[in-house]
Amino acid sequence: MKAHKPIEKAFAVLIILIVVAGLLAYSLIQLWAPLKPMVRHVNPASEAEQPPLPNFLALLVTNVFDSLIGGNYTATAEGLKTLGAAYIPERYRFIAGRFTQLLNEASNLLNDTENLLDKAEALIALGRGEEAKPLLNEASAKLASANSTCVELKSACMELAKTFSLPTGELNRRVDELGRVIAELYGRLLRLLEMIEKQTTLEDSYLTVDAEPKTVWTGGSIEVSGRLYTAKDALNGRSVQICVDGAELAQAVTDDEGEFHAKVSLPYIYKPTILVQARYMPKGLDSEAYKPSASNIVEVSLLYVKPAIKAETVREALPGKTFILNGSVEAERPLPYSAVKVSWAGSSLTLSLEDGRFMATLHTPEDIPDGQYSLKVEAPAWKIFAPAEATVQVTVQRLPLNVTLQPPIVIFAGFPSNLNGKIVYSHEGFNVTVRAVFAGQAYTAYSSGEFSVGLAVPLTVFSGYQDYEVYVSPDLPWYRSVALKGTILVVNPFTILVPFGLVSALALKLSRGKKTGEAGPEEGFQRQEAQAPVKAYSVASELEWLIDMYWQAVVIVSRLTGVEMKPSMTMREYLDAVGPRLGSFRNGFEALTVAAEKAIYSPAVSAEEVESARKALEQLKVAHVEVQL
Amino acid sequence: MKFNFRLMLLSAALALLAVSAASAILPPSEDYQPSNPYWNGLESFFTAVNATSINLAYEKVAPENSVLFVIGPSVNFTQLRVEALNEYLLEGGTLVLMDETGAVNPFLSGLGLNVSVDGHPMLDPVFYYGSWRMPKIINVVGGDLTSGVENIALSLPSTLNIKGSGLTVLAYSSSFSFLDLDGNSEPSAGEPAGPFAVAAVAAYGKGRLILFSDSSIFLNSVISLGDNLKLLPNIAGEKAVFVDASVWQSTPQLAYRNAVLSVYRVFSAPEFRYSLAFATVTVIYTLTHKEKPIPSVDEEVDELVRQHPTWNRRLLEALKEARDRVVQRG
Repeated sequence: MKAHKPIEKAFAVLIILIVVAGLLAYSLIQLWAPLKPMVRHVNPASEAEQPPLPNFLALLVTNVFDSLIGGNYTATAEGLKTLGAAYIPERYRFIAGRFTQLLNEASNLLNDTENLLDKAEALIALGRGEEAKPLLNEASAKLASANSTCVELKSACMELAKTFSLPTGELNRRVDELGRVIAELYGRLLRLLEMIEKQTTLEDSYLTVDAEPKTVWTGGSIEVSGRLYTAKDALNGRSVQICVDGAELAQAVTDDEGEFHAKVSLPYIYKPTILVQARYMPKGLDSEAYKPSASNIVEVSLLYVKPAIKAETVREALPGKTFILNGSVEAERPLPYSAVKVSWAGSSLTLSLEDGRFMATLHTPEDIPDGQYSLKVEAPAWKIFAPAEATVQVTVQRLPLNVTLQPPIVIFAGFPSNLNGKIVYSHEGFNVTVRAVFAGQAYTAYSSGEFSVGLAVPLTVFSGYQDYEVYVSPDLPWYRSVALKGTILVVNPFTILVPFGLVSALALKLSRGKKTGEAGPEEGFQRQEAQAPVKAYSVASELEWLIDMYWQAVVIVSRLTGVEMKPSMTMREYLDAVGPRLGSFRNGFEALTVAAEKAIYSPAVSAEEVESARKALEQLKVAHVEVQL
Repeated sequence: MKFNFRLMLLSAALALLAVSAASAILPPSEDYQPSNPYWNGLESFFTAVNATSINLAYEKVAPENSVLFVIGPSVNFTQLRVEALNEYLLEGGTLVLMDETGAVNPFLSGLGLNVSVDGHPMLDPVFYYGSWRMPKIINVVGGDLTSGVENIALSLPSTLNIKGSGLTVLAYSSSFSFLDLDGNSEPSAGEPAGPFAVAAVAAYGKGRLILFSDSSIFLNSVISLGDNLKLLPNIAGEKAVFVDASVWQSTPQLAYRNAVLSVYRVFSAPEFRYSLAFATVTVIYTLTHKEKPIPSVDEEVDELVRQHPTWNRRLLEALKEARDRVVQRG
């Protein structure tokens, strides 16, 4: 039988391997190739790279070109940004990048050129052609660069069109139009240069100006006078523009002396000073004879009434509640208006003024978050009265709600428990909604003071600490909601009892089973009388103790002599084996052996034989004890 | 060869244990699974916002301080679920619905919102990530939810059909995008062209609903594209993030894995953990102190009789019994 064990083991291992391999393979196949009824997304790594659709890409590119050709440089920049967001395969990014870079360069160069030309034109208009020259030189250089960029752009366009299958003709046409734009700008530049050149042959004109009074009420008028002349004589009958802070307010015609006078009505400007200047722009034949000119600048002080607004809030601003706004508008003259405008929390209203004072009850929205907000009071501008404004910073802060919680220390699953709490008010009573979430369950309670939330932990929850969250939301919007968190120990007696009971039973069983096999030889001697004999063989029941006695002797003899009784030995063979080593105890053990043999083979054993056997065992015990000592 | 039933049973038990362990240890590859580290999982999403997977049918979350994601539902919205979501929104929760199939439409109409998910795939042949099926959204409307977000990566999305007011569109696809009605992945005549709304937000009750026409935005393979990783914290804020895992249809292998993990969780409970430890100690102690097995009377006597056919079997049995008793004692 023992010869089969290695085969059995190998067979068992084989089965395990086959089963494990089979189940694992099945699992892995299922894991790697799960059933998917619907494709909801794609794996970016396994998607084949696609180029952009040529027609759509061409549209994107031509839109940018069109913006540039139209001189809308802001739109061009946005278009280039959009074009940069389009997908370009990695291997073509250089081509697309080169194209957008050139287009961007061309856009910047043309934009700069236009700005320079505008500035130069303005200077030429003032007769400052010499100052405009450097600007035109710079513009010329930029135009040259733009032209060069345009040439490169043409080849980049060809490459782009070839790479992405874009319509070549469309792109070529745009590049040609861009060339036309550059040519137009160049033409403008030449014209401006001509104007400068022409101005050098013209006679200089000079212009002076003065204004009276030097201090005036806003909205009032000033007398502006001056003289227009050349190095040779005065220019009469010419129209002169009178500008205040750069804006033309009036025109005056010069007299025979080249002098001009004009009464200029000022608008209601609320600033301390204004700047007055006269300008002369030659028209008609004069443009062929005189240079434009600008006068000196005269500073005029303005007078106006500046009301002062004072505002303050009474009571704190609480969501859902009202507060009082008090204030006044003070001015050195009686106010010509009777109302001010108040803006608060996204809405505005008009407040009446009584003796320059105002008062309002303002409502704070319920849903406004806590924080600082601006309350603005505005008084309008009215003739010599300048507009006034005052801003009050209002803090919106909900009242704190004092909530104390008394969570149970331990909750037993399956048994109801309560989470108690108390809300402490400042002075007013109201209701609160208490929402608690514990162990996956939500609970709601309503209270006006103390509250109690009944917690019921299901038996499916195991023992351990469970998080709880309690949200207390007051019905009144001017109180702050409170969120509290913590943990409660949950003990599930059922889930504890089952495993601990089973383990205890297992431990008890193992412990008992072990105790039955743990008795030592000495204990065995002491218990031999108490133990009931096992009737497993046909020995007369009254003589079984004799057989037991024999085996006790065998144990002692084997320890004394060192000779074990083999299973194949008979009683007599064992006697022969140990006899020579027993010495003086041989006779006693022989008597015991004979008595035991008789107990087995013969129902009758004499009292003398039993007695001598008993004595022999006692002697052996004594000898065994002496040897041990 | 003798058939050993116990050995076979042991083999099968070990095999089952090995498969169960492998099932639990190996990550799942199903869509949207929190522990799926592959391209179609949500592991990165869960890590980024420390999200918790819940079953809304059995578990409740506090709406006041939470964001609930419903991503790619593949089961029907039951009345119970609709009520739970409705209650969540009314009480101040932030619900993020992400779907491209139209599975959420009954829920949306139940809320009374004039919006639906079209269900047809939207492709963009100009603004995309590698494939037209992965559109790049560059028209993002400014707001607290889209702060710092310039583009959003999608993966085989659909579009939102917004018919009424009350919804604020957060993002539009480009004017080159199109709805692929005929499924040929090319813009065809008659197919609607963009721009289409792909994300919107609406106030509902005390809470708010954020709707995306794509459930793939936060997949492991998509979350790092575009500004998707900036969009996520804008939505989550400082709130606790929950994902309703009960909306995904389970596969057999996933169901098995979940069952194994459930068993593991049971044995992870303190009572079972300590009981198991105690039982293990008891068994080890018992095994290390176990007595040598004693051959049965029959086996030993049979062997002797086989070797010595002339011996008396009855006598041998008697001797054996008597000797065993003494041996047991000493």
